[in-house]
Amino acid sequence: MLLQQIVNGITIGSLYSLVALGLTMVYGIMRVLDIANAGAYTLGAYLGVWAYTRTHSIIIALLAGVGGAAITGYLFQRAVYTPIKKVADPIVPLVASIGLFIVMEDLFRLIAGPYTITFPVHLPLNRLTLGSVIITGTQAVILLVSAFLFLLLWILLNKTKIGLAWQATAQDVETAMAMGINTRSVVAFAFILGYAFAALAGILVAIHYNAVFPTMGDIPSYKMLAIVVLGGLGNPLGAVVASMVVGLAEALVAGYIGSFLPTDAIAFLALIILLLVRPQGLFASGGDAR
Amino acid sequence: MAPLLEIQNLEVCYGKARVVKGVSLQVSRGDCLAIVGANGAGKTSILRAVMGLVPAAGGRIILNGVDLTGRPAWERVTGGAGYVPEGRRVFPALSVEKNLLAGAYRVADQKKVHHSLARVYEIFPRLQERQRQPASTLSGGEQQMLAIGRALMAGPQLLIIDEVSMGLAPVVVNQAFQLIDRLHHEGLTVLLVEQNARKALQVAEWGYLLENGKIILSGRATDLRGHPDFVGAYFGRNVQVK
Repeated sequence: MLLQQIVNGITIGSLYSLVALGLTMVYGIMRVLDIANAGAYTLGAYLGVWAYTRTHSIIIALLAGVGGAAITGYLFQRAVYTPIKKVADPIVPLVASIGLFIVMEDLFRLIAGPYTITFPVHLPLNRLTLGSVIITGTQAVILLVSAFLFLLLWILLNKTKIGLAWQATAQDVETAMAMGINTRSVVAFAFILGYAFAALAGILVAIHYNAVFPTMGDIPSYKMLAIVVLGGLGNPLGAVVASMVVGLAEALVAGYIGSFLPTDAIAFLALIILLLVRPQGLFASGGDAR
Repeated sequence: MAPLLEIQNLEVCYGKARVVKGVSLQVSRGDCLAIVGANGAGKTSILRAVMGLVPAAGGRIILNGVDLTGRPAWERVTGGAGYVPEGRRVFPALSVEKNLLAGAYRVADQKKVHHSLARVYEIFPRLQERQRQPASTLSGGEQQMLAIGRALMAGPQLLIIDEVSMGLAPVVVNQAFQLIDRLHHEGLTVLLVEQNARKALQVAEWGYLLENGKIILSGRATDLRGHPDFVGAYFGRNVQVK
């Protein structure tokens, strides 16, 4: 029972991590809480199911969802966030991001309809039974894909020039510019990566629950805020750890205590407790990707 | 021969406040030039405009024959400028070595990067001892070494240094100026801005005295040191220094 709940919790935590990473990377570099990142989660799912129903190829579905969302992230950054950030108070980009998120949800509703559509992918993985623990094929894919992406992101941030540029820019954008770092490209990189990760999470969740609907980004939009604050705003490692903490807490509470409060409230309960004990979050904010 | 850096009628404004008012100067290859003046005279604003960190409200900035006015900051590094900002501004959570590598961001040739790293470690052995430490754990003097080392990593033709003495102990200030003197004598062109005018004019060949955003005096550093306007700019016009 305990091991099963831990596997379930890590699976949920992995999905949260993918969305939270995007949000925290964008915050780290731009100091903008981009709520529209949760729109990329839904966009990825819709583009994925659209491509899948036409090609029956999960690879093409992933490419369409992730690629479409990454392009959207780049366009939002260039057309909305960067111009606004130059002239307005820090609160204005946050308001703009909420506006973009609402527009995206309404567009999904208008284009795809207000109902739930299925994402009937049959993954070529059988159910895995390890003693009393059962890992479904979808869970295995989520765990493997997430582990691969976390490793890839760690290498990207710590072993490559663009990762060094991201860390430097997150810590001091002006000095980074004076060192010759093209901070415009670094900001674009953060948005592209952030939206791509969110889209991937959206596709995996849509496959996991066999459902895509216009408001599926609602819960991630606010739960991710709690997670990135828990992990220390702008800290990718903190976002992953906080996602796992919340995922495990949700699974363990659901498994052992039952529904004494809505599952989605657990992230906020954890946030309130942590802020009382450790106001800076689990980790320090910004830039340090170790 | 064209100057390495040419500033023509530079104007810098913060909102409605004009802090640099039509400053022109040239830095030739091999020169060591100091801009001195009291706090708030506009010295740092000139350097920030040269580095593209604040927009020039008027005038032109020409580096290595290329007009960089209005161009983004990172193009200055490609153009041959290395920058040591006021207050060091090291990347606090990055290790010493990663700070140095950030300074070589524009250098594509890894052999050159390794060569620069070895040279910086030769100049500052302390940085090599602490290469894995986060920069935030260094002392003020060590952070200043790191800031200078980081600026040297791109192999600049022009080293731009803003207030190297700020917040440092006198013995460390002396070491910093000795280092600037050494780098200059090894052939590096240096433009420094400094409140500690006496020290700056000891290492510089040329000096510019800035007051209220305007150059009020310029010439050989040795001539400037004894000039009455030089004393007046710091202590007021009616003060007599005995």
